[in-house]
Amino acid sequence: MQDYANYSLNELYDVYHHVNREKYPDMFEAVTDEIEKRKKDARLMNIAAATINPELYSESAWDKGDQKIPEQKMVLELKFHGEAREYFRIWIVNLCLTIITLGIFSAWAKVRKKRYFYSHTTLDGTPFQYLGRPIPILKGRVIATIVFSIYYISSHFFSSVLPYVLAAGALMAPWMIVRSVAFNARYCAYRNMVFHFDGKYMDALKTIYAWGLIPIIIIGTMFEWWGQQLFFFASVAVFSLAFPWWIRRLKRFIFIHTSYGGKNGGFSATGGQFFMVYLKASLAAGLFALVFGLFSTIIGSTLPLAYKSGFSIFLFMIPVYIGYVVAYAYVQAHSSNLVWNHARLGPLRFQSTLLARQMALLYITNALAIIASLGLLIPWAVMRTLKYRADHLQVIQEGNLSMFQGSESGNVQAAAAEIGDFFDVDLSL
Amino acid sequence: MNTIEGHYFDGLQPVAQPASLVFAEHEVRLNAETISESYPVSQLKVSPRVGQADRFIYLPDGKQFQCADQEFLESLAGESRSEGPVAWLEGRWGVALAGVVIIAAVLLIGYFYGLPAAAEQVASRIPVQTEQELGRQVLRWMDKNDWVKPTGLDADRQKSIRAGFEVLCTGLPTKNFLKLELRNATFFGPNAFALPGGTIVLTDDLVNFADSPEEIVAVLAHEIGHVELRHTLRIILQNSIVGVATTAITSDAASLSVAIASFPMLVAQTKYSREFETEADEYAFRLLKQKGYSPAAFASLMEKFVKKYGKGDNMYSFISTHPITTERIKRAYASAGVSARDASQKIDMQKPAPPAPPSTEDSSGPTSTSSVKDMRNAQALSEEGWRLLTESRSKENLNRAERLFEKANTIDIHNADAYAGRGRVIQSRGYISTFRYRKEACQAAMPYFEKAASSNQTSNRVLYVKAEAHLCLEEYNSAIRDANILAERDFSSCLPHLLKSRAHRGIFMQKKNRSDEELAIMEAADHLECTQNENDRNGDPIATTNLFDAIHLTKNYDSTVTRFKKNLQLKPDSEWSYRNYIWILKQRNSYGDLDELERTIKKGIAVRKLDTSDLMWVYHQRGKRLLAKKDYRRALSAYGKFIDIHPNYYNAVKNDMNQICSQVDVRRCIKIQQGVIRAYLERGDCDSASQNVTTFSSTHPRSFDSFKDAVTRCQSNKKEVDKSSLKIGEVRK
Repeated sequence: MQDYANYSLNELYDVYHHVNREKYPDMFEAVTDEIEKRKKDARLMNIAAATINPELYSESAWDKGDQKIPEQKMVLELKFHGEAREYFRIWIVNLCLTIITLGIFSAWAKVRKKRYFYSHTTLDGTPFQYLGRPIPILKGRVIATIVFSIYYISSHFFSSVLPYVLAAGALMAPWMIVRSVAFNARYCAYRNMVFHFDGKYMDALKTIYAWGLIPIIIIGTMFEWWGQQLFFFASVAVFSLAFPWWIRRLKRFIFIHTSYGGKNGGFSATGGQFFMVYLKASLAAGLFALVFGLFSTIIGSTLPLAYKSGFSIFLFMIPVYIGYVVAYAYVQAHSSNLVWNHARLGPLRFQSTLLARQMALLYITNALAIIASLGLLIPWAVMRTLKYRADHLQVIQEGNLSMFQGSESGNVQAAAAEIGDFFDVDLSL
Repeated sequence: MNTIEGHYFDGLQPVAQPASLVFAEHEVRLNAETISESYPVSQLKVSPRVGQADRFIYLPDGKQFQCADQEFLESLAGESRSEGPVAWLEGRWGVALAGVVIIAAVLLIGYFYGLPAAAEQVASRIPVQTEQELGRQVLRWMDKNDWVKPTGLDADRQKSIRAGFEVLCTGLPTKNFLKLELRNATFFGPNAFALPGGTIVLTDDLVNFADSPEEIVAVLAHEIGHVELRHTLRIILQNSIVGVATTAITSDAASLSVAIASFPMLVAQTKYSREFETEADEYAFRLLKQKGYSPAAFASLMEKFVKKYGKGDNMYSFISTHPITTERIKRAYASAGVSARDASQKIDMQKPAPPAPPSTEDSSGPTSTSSVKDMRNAQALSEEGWRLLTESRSKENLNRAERLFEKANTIDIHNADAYAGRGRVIQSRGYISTFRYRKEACQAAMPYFEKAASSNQTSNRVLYVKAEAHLCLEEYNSAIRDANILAERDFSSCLPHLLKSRAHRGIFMQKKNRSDEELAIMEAADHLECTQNENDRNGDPIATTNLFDAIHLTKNYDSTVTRFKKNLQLKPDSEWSYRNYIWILKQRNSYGDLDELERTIKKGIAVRKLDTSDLMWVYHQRGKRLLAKKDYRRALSAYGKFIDIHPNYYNAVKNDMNQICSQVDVRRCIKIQQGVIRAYLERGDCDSASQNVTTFSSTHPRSFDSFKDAVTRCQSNKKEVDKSSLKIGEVRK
């Protein structure tokens, strides 16, 4: 649950008007309470509510519970319409063809699946469009397969050349990231305008190597010297601490280089906020591990020897897995919220209201369903997860959409015409 | 005329304008708030149908029209045609159902047959050399990071293990790549593993865990199986394909349900691992039999594992990397052709080791002209002769055996066993006592043994009798050489240790040098341990005598004490570990050892139910020694414990007790004496009790008054009991 005490009055009204009252009665109630409280405060301080915003503060408007939204500010509805039964057929047919063709069809399958996701996601009634074509994806997959095979074979059989392979891979990684993000942006269209990613190789290099920390760690641990082990542990410790800031840089890199209609994204979350998310998650995980460790030792010591077999280890794995999922869901929900709530795109800002415990429940039920159905419920799990995420992301328009200015070359057909470029590869897997 | 309502996007602003498309025969008109334009119908393109989603009509000037899906759109030109059939397939439940069946079939067939077969094919085309670097890296890494330490085994042990390994490797296709590395790796416990490229690592713990060299050979054969069958490469290939396939199938779910793919992947991969273990087992059984070993050794080792570490967990076998151990044991016995019961045959000292079964691999065929049938007949005759020889050394027996051997040699002049038998008969005629023969007899027998050894079918038996004759003739180095050959040939035999021990002892007697003395003791101890078997509590008297002789020659106990102590630490579950350690400490019989002995025996009694006689010995010795030191009080307490075990022992130390009682506080003595009487009474031995009361009363009359009544009560009770039993007897009559 959000802490509404930190919200500005305007934000509170925003939530009050756009929250789904049937679905999240508790949230609605909390917002109402908070607003009532502030109203009371305002009255007590003898400040005429009317002087702040006469329209919103009239008692009658409150009672009707239905408020006129200021013109310049409105919520664009983001909805996911995917249906599990429909997607199941797409998924199974494409999987079958992929298997029969030994993976070659996977490029086509990816296009078909992405197209399904995109065109069933609507923002303000208009679906997104996926314009990606199979051949660039296939090219990307061939490249990825070759790269991965080189790595795999050298790591298993020719470990003497492995450092060179890794060095080459390290130099290639920023390029691959830039390419795949750019591909995904370029082939995503909304209202006849495509997204654009203008991140450059050098920017990516600077970002992902974390202020040079990662190369220092790699070089320092690659060679044998007296302090190798100490250095390794020290650098792991430093990197773990720096990790939230690193993640923030990565997210920021993606956002500020993504543009739509000539407007680049903005990103204002701080490393400290990410740090708090990871800190809380790791403290919770640590506490859980401690409690569970104590619990299992007690149980373990009281159990007769006969039960200390593989079965009990297996049983103990379940709480460990649940603990892991909860921590994972917590990080997912909170970092997602953090990222979206601090992102902007032109006149648009976002409000993400994912809840860790709902996400954890979603993940666990997904896992159970998938196991019980031997994988046949994977499409169902995918659909409900996407739906949950879409339902908890609001796009708020704070200005005129005509701020986005498209160009003749930026429309869907122009983008599609570019296909055939040799370097047009999709390297995301 | 056909009108479609929808929205219009100009591509310049992301603003949806309500609009309509009006279709005429060849023309279409777009009507929106800000625009009204006409286009030829043939230039329109429509986006593919995706589920229920809205579709887009692309206008020729880059503009777009969004509308709900409707049948009419299908008449327009599609954006791309290639996806038509796939879309058709996606629309049908029957196809989806068929897809499920096809996927299941392809995955199952591929997983159970296709992938293993393909991996095997690929692996057989890639030379072993490619794996060698990986193997070297792993070993170097383990060495460097102290996962393993250099072996702590002594040189001889190593040599014999390597000899066994060599025997196994001879003639194998990967012979040049197979390498044995011995390591002390407490982390891995008793273990052995094959690294990629043919390096096999054997831990000291396993060597010590195994009871016989044959068990080590069996383990090595299993690991050689992994190398020969290219399991490393195959598991890498198979697991990576399984990994790729699992990831491909569950990729959609991967980010949504957290690590869901890892479990099926684990299950799928461990099955291959189990299959390879079984395959390596089967290979090992074949190899062992081919080289003349019995797979039963593998079983016995596994049985020990089960005893020590528990059974393979049956219920969760599907996530285990190794097959169920009991299954492996069963298969090993089945392969050895014996039932589990009579698997643990003991090699009888007096009977020379049975000849190794003819090796199928290097039977290039004898060069003699005699037919196979003749050879078999001759072998049967000499076997019968040997049976007579081991039965007894009576004159008739020796004569009959000699006749049989001679007959065997007339049939097949190359029959080594027959020659050896003839020599043995001559030697046996000069028999003095165990291991001792008249020198002339040995001298006379030697030519026969030489001839047997030079024959092309030498058996272990020949080597053994020849070595013994060398011992008799004091040709110790030749005896050692023969024993070494025997050890290499027959890994399971304990006899080479005995031979070597006696040979070194002989050298020591001549030269009085320390190294041979040590070797004699060591080999004797090796022999003792080799003959000891957990199922047989009696042990081999000859082995014990031999070690006793070797040690008592110079009273050099210390090396053996250390050795047996270490063994006890390594194998604290073995009864023999206790018994050997106790035995050697008793032999050393030093006062300083008594506490250690007491501790060990008590632990042995608790853990392995040893009998208490050794404990009595300890108390008695301690008492005696303390008395000699005139430490009466502690002597009394030692004797007190001694007597506690059985009251009769009081009489055994009566004189000592009298001496002690005259020196210490009388009350302590009286307490012990009262204890003796009480113990007798508890045992119902009234006579002994009364006898002792009389004896003890003579010195301290008042202290035992209370017992007099008890004794009379005891006696009257007994009489009554006797009477009643008599009555019952009468009634029955």
